[in-house]
Amino acid sequence: MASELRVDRIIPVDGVPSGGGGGIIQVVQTTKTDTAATSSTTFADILTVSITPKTNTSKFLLFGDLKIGYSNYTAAIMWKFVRDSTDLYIGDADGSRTRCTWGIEDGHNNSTAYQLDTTYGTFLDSPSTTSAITYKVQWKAEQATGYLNRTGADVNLAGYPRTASSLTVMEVSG
Amino acid sequence: MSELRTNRIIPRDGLPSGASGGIIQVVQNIQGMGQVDSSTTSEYDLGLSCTITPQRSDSKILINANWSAIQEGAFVIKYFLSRGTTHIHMYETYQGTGSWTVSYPNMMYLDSPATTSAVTYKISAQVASGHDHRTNYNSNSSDDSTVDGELTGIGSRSTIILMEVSG
Repeated sequence: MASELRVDRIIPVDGVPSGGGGGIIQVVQTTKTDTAATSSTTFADILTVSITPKTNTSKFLLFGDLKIGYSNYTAAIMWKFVRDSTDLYIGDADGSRTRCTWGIEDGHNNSTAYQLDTTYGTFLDSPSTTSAITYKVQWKAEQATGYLNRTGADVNLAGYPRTASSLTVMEVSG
Repeated sequence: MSELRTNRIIPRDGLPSGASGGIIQVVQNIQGMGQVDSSTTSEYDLGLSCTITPQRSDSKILINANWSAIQEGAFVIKYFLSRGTTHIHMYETYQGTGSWTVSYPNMMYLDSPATTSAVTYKISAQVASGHDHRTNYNSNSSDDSTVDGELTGIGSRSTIILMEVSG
């Protein structure tokens, strides 16, 4: 029989590094393999995953991996991490600009509708709770339409992609 | 609450050849505001670095970094991951259009530093002469509405995360 270690916390012998965490206790992931589109100027959920911390000192390592397409080169697309209703890892407030984890204002060029960008976000969150947490990726668009897992221009030919996107959350001992 | 204090986690039967064990510690650094530009051939830091002190000399360090960049023109861009001043990994990309192009490089690499002293990992870049390359493009101070793909002021951030993996 395989050996098994059941534990709620794994840390280095000399303690947890300042600002960091120890070992990884559990991992959850959600994957979206179909396509989606948004032209909403209000953030809406696109990826959601729930996890219950083992201790209130645990931290959570978030990996967002979204494949983003654009309807045209004027498209402004943004996405952000959210814990329950709290925004995470967003930029500072600055006038009317959108605070987000990842964003683009104006696409690449006139071939934007044929491009699919792999966008990443990574963040270590410290929620200080043992209650169940819902981590989300929310996205929005300005001036045009944003697509997930497909290019803006889309034809039923082998040259046009279909991809997957994911949100992975690891509980890190704190 | 149960707690395990250890500096090494491996499968009971040992590590398979070429494999690593469990993760012992995690540290991250988030890049601050401030655009970094270059149009020379000199290698330059992106300001994205992070330090970790391995618990054991046989530990490995899993490095994950992602950032945004824009560049003008068709040319090769080299991104380097360094441990101290030594290049340990390189990502080379060619931007094939003459106009502004956005990219979102992501780098993941498993390093074997063989030390228990603090080690610092950083990301740097090098471009061909005369081509404008901008990273950490999240500054509030340099809006330029003529540049496609500009991230200025929108709030995107760059990160580097280090994980000590038992060796």
